[in-house]
Amino acid sequence: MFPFAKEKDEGLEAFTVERCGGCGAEKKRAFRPGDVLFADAGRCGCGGIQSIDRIFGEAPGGAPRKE
Amino acid sequence: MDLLSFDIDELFGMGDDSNPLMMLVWILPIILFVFYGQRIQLMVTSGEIRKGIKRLDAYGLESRDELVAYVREVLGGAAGSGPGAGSGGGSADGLAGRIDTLLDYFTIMPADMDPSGIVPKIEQVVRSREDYTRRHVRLLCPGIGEADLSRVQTLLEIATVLRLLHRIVNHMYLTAKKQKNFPLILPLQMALPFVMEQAAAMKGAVPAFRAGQPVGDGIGPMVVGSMMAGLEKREVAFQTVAAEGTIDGRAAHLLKARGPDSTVGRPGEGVEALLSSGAKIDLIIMVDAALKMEGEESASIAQGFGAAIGGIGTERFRIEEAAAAKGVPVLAIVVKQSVKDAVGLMTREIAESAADVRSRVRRMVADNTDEGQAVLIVGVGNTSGVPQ
Repeated sequence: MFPFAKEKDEGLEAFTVERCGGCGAEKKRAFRPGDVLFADAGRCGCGGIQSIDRIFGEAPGGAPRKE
Repeated sequence: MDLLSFDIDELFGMGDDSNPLMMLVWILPIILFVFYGQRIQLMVTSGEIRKGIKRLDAYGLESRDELVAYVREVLGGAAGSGPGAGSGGGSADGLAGRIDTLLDYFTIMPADMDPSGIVPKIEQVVRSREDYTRRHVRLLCPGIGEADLSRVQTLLEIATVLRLLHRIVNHMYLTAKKQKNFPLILPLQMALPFVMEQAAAMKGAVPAFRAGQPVGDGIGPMVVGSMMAGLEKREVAFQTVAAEGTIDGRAAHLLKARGPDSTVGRPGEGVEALLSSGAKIDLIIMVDAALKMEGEESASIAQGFGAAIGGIGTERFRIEEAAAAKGVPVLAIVVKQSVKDAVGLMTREIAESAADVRSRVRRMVADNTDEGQAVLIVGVGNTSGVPQ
């Protein structure tokens, strides 16, 4: 343990990425309670069906978290 | 005053006419360190350890409070959802007390003097604990749904571990202090950063589990769950589902814990059930998260041999036994990550590695089996937020 090293606890913001099965377009938005992977996310502009492809956390500002 | 004209010899008492006062300045600290060095070191180290203990205590208390808050929230939701709902542990202050009792439960592992046949005993103890906890959570929150039940169980486990860590570290520290025993505090000083890392990771995981979000450990179920999309699923073991599909002309049996509950299921039993069901399986591929080494990139992918599954070892034992009995080779694909990434909300890098893992699974199937053969692909890990 380094007595003078300060630890910064940076929380992650949760995001949901919806992907269209037809055209492959992706839309990233803030995570909403009840979001789960592969869930139906409505219709895309191209007529294809969108589903939740990824749910992940990002440090505020989008920077990768430092280990 | 001329500050630059001083005599070095005089300052350090090296001249013939050395100052006895200066000699004392040198000798006193030496004597002090010879006789009290250990105690001084103990004082310095103690300060750091005390800070760690304080943080562990805070983690334990905060996670317990979050658990109580979540149970109250669930009770609020469940109160109107079924007959008799809310009548069990709901009465406000019995609730916190009953949760505290659950948090203090301990587990005594079977005696290992004669290790032969110990695995079923360990499994029985661990499952009894799980069943007991599940039953008591149901009593606390009558009418609770499966997803909420699994979340409460996970939060209970986190709070229990954090409380236990605090208790162990505090005990070691107080023992060393009471006996003024510096060597006793050294192992604690060495282990504390690792303990703190684990504890901080678990504390940080609470919001993700509460919200039902996928965690880094869920990459295996995420990969296999996406391959199960559109296929018919059936429960093959407790909280464990399987589906049958095809990959490049090979029959593909897919297995994962039943999501989106926060559970790891019983993949060992699932693999056993599939292998003994009469289905001919020529290869088992396990997809899991693995702890990365320092210096390795988070979300880097590695392939290897053997059953990739963590935990206490009973599930791995079952898989290895079943595979060895049928002579089925076991290959593994792991996504490396830190403890913090594994138990916390899945990071972007890990989520984006899923596509690469899927293509590696396909390649592994194509490279190691022939058309017409069958593979079993197991997604190992906590399946919170990851249905199938």
